[in-house]
Amino acid sequence: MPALYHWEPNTFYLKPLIALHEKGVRFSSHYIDPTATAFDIRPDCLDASIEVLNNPEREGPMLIESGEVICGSFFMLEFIADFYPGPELAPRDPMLYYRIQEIGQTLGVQLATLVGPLGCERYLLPKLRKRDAVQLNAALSAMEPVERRHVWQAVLDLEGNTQEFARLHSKLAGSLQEIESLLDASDWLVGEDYSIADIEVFSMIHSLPVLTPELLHPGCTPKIVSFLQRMQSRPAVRAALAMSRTGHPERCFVPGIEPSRWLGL
Amino acid sequence: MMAPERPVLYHWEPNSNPGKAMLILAEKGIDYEGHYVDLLAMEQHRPEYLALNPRGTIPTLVHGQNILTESTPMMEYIDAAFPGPRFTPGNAIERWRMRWWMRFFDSYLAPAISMGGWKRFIGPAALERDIGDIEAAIDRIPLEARRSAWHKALHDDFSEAELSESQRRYRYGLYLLEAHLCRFPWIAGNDYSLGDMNGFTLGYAFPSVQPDYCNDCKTPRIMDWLRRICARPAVRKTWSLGRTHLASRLEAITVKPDADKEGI
Repeated sequence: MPALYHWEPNTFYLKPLIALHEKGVRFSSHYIDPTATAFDIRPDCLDASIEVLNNPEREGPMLIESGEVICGSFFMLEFIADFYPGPELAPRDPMLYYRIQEIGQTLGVQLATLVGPLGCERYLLPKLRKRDAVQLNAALSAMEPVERRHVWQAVLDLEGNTQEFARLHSKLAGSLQEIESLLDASDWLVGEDYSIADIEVFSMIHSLPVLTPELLHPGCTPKIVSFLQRMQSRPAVRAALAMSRTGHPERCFVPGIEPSRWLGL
Repeated sequence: MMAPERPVLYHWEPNSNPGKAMLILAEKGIDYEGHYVDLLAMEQHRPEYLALNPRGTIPTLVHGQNILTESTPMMEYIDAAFPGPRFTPGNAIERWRMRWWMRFFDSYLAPAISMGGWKRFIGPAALERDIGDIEAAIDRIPLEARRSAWHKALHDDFSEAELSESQRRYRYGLYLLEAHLCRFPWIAGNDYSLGDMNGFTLGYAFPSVQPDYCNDCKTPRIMDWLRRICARPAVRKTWSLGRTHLASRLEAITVKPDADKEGI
């Protein structure tokens, strides 16, 4: 049976949860709170859980299948679509598949770099502020790999940085308009059928009606609003969201190493 | 599989992104209409090219009604849409591994390496042309990140912090790749795949531009991997299409350790 190590069903962690439920795959669920593992500063506990150390990215979901560690949330979606029997989640047509990969590589990464920091600024930063600054800096400087340290530092640097906040907000507005245009031709993002592209984008934006309601509402993004409703009515999406332990997955953010890793310099 | 139509590829040198499409087409033995887009003359930002590819990136593949501009997904498209040998692994775990590594090459290692390339090659080469024309062309570049890279390359304006981080990433990337090739002979696992082609379009230059970090003593498995790929006829054919001295970097791979010592 595959094992999935995950946190609350939001952003990166939500993607494999939806896909596994769509496929009807039985899996063992291992819940890890990355806000605890990242800042547990006792030397013997610093990221020391085997689950975290086994994840080359140290943060984000990890799927163990046939002894292999599968990481990278978009590639994990491709893997789940590919490997497990059950409903098709990716088209066989090469051009439609190209479109899916294009969305994962461009829109998916873009959304991660915008939604993650904005969510962290709202929900994670206030928690970090309550910690002792010296201990926080010590934990940060010990954080591996370096890219992960950079994204956590970037969250702390958002404190009071209205210019950077405005830049993220404005870029997110642009990304949402891009999604709105993609939904012009069809109910789904690629072709006529539901696919992992929809899971990819939904996972990154489903918290936005709460986080940035001014950017996502029926007057401004009617097609995205309908898209979110269509997604939320799917049993697999409901089952994935129901795995929340806090009851508010839309408030659970960590920066995630992926944007830093994949955005280059 | 789709009916094969003759594809049209707009490419630059057999290097990095353009090289990926050129190499997979050669490996599959596909006859294509090639158009060399001179990056140093900013031809990728001319209106006729932007009409095809509004982001002004190279390569662009036109296949019937389909226009493809993202080079790595383009490789998978070419492999799936055309007849010939397959270079996507048949096993899902290997496909995952191949895709993870392609993203690592594209988005982690390539930007780290290309900063040096822009500083050492693209900036100086562009300056051999009319600076006024180049500056005007830069202002027409649609992508902000590209405009910034060109300005920095022209004026050698990369900061110490940027260069140092780029070196750190480069060394870490080499370390991960060497460790990976201890475990598997090829990027995806047991067979040559799109992942090796992708990595090679970047890696062929490692030994010549960073000989202190990539050599037979420090990275023997990377050197062996590069040599195995370099020996492929499709690689030779593809790199023969190069028009600048970039393509000559291929030769540094074939220099064996003994020959090095003789040279010393």
